[in-house]
Amino acid sequence: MKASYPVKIEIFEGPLDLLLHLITKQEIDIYDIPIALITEQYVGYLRAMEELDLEVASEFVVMAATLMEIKARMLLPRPRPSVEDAEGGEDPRKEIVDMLLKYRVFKEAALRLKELEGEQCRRYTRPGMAPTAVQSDGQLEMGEVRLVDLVERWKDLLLRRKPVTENIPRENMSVGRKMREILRKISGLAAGVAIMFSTLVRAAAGRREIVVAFLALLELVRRGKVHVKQAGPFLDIEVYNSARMKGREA
Amino acid sequence: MAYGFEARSLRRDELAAAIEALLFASDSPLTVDRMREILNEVMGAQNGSAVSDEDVVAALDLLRRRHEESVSGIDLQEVAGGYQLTTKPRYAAYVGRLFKTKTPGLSQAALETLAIVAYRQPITRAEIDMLRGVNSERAVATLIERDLIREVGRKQVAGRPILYGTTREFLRYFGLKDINDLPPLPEDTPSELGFGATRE
Repeated sequence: MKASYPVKIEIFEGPLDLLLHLITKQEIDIYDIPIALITEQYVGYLRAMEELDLEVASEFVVMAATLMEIKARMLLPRPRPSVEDAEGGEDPRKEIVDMLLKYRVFKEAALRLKELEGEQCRRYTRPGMAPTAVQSDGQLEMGEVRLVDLVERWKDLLLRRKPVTENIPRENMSVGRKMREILRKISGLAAGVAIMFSTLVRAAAGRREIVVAFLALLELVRRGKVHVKQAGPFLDIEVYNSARMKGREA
Repeated sequence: MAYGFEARSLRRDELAAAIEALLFASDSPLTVDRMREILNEVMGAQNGSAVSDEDVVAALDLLRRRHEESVSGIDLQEVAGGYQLTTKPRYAAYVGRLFKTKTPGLSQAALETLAIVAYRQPITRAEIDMLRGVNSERAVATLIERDLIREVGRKQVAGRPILYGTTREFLRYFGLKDINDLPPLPEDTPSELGFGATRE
């Protein structure tokens, strides 16, 4: 029964799909699969795929191994029927046939779904559409406005808004200048009297100004010009005139 | 009494017309419940007598017959637990010309996976893989993306894997009234058959 056959490459969904194809094509009784022949054809298919440089999914390879194992077990003499196994042992093909039968059911069910899909595809429905201008008394009810409406409206507003042009003067600030300013402010301080860091920057100071003031303060600390104290994290920093403190301590 | 009959049929005509308007404007199938609710909100208050489910069903029946009998390009279809107006399939060739893009149908892998979920729900990915003999991760992802299946829970076993089931969109997509409207599964042959064991 060895037949050479031209391998026409079809795309199979999996090893079961391929096996089922080989079996139905040759009108083989699924309950009595000539395992040697089917294994040979199955492996032939995998080879053809490899020759065509098609990727062979691992599941296909596992199935090839399973088929060869079954083939080997079929060649072995059947064990003598034991007491528990009065029916002469289980057919080695049983497991695979079970899988094929189950798979076949769903493959056919899939075909019917495809038919239904085709039928329903011929029916067109409308996407819902509300009139563009909905009459409204101006009162909005809960659920009447969805988030997306707000987003749309916001986008409209942004587009409609005239671009604002305004000159923002660049703050001309340097650490050196700030250091001199701090020194000037603390020069008149008596011993033990501090000024707060918050008074060294303007109330409406931008981030840049605060950073510059802080750097200036650090630099002054490093140079020993000022002493600082902070009662706790995030609290205001007290700035003392080092000269005065030294003077007092000395 | 002529009066009673006329009033009733007038009312039914009016109901059918209102329902037709609702179905025309809706973007998804409407359930009898929903239609009755809306009709009562508007109509019931005026007439005093409330619209019942039976009234809605009778009006739908009238509507369906009208669409079937008259020369109309529109059909009333019962689908996904509700009703919708669709173009008649025989005019698909014309309507299709309106749309440039066509959504591709489902792939064989997706259809197989969907069939398994539809008939065996709730079911886990591993169980689907087992039945198909192949990894179904991509197919499952596609089906979720197209809103044809969804997570319906977790299986109470080790790892608590996700259980999948079909959606309302699944029913609509395949034109099914409800899940029992699925074509019967082809004979699911008991696996014990034909192997040494003779059937008793």
